Amino acid sequence: MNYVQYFIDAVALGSLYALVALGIGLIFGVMRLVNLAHGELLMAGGYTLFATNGWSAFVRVPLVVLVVVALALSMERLAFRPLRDASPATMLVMTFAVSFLLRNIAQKRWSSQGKAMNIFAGLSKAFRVGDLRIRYVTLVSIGVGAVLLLAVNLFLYRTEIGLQMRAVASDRRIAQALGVRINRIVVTAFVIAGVLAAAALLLFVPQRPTVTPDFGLQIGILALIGVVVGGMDRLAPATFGGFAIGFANSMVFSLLPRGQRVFLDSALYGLVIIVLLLRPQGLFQRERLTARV
Amino acid sequence: MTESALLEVSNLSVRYGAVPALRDVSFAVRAGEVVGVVGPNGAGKTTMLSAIMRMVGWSGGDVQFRGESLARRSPDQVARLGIALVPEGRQIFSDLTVGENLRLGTVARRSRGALQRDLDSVIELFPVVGDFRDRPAGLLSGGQQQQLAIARALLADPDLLVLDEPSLGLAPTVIDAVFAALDAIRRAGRTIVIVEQRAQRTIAFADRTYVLADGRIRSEVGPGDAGNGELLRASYFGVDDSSQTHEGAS
Repeated sequence: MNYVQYFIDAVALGSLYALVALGIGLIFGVMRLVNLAHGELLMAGGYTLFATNGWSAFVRVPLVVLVVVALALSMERLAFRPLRDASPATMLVMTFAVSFLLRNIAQKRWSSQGKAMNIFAGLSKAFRVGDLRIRYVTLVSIGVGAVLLLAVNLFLYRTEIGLQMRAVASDRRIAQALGVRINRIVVTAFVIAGVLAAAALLLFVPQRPTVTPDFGLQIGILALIGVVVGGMDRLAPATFGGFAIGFANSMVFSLLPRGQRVFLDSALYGLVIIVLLLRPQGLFQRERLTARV
Repeated sequence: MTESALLEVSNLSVRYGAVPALRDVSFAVRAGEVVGVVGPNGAGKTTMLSAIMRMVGWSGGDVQFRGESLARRSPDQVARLGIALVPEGRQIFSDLTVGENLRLGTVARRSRGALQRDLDSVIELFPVVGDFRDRPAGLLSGGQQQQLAIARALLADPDLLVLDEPSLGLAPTVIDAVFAALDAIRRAGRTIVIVEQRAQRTIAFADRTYVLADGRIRSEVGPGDAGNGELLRASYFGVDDSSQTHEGAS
């Protein structure tokens, strides 16, 4: 029965990482940009919660979404857009610098001590089903994760701008030569990535209730690893990769004997190394139908 | 001729770093004309089309479309002004379906009206794009992909259709089919600029053809010159740089 419990918890954590990974994957798709500062979007949401402690959740939730999306759009406009035609290495260094800058601003403003983000206290409560102890946040995480992933999927496959986004991800030059406004597509991708990051942050709170300047870094890096393990080139494998890394993180944590949990990261990254060695093209990546021309 | 030109390229130059790829190219295309550009590999043909589309920057000169300079335009704006490109090597979106590729062709349309009529006529011209609408475009054969690329460009309802080496890598019978389709497109009154390495076929097809070599226009030839191998060789390999440079106007 324990294993069922582990499995449910792992699916919930996997859903959160899938949301973060989908955001990273969307931005990589339209800009070929590996955004190391993606996790700082969650950090900004976390400090927004801290700063608004005591306010109504009806105000705080939209405010978190607003702050995170605004930060995502500022990153795009101020730091990434001017470098759009630069080399991948240049863009990577820029995202690293943005991440470092934001974490330092947070440290100056709020110190490196953890700050409480409490919201949705009721979600931490649990109910029992036989031997299983299920926290409400587990169900909500899985539910919200599924709804948002489905919504993004519908957007990409059922709307005109979603089609244009897939075209830009496939070949930006040709999409632009067909009349697609690249800036509009990139901005849309950053808005979606921001909303997904805000949702993930809100659902992370019950299990990680304190925000530090490095809060987003840990989540962002792990999600990014998930994206690479899954296969960066396409959204579905990237999202599954994010899910898998969250799932594995929770599973390995549960399966490790209590005294050995300090080895969580070693075990997890060991697993990542093995997967990358066995399937360098990505765990969930099919062989391509045709080579890119 | 200049005042009625649909497209006017004047002294257009492009450099890749220190390397000149296009030097002082000038020519004009009137509405309804088919203009060919031929030249050896590396002559600057693709660069010229990319420069007209604003996909590469210019180091000098200007391009005017319907009397308006494209100097400050981005590629998507050029497309929405009415120039549609069929890129070299097809470059369809192989992950997307044939139908989705066609829908992307409509992004640059200036009016939504008559879309169904254009779609019908494109499918009549290239039945394969109608038959395989739900298939991933990457699964089509090379010839079918080329037809899809032309169909996609036509759905923008462009004033000017620009084709970059449409016969590249295709079997001879498929090339015949492509040129037959282009002939139908021309008869429908569409203005066409076609860039090709296959000189004779292009010269015979176009109303007039410019020979491009080493980034310069070497000469202008007409359909009657298609069989004149001597003239072509001289143009391709350039005996005299300056005396054969043709201005395109007059």
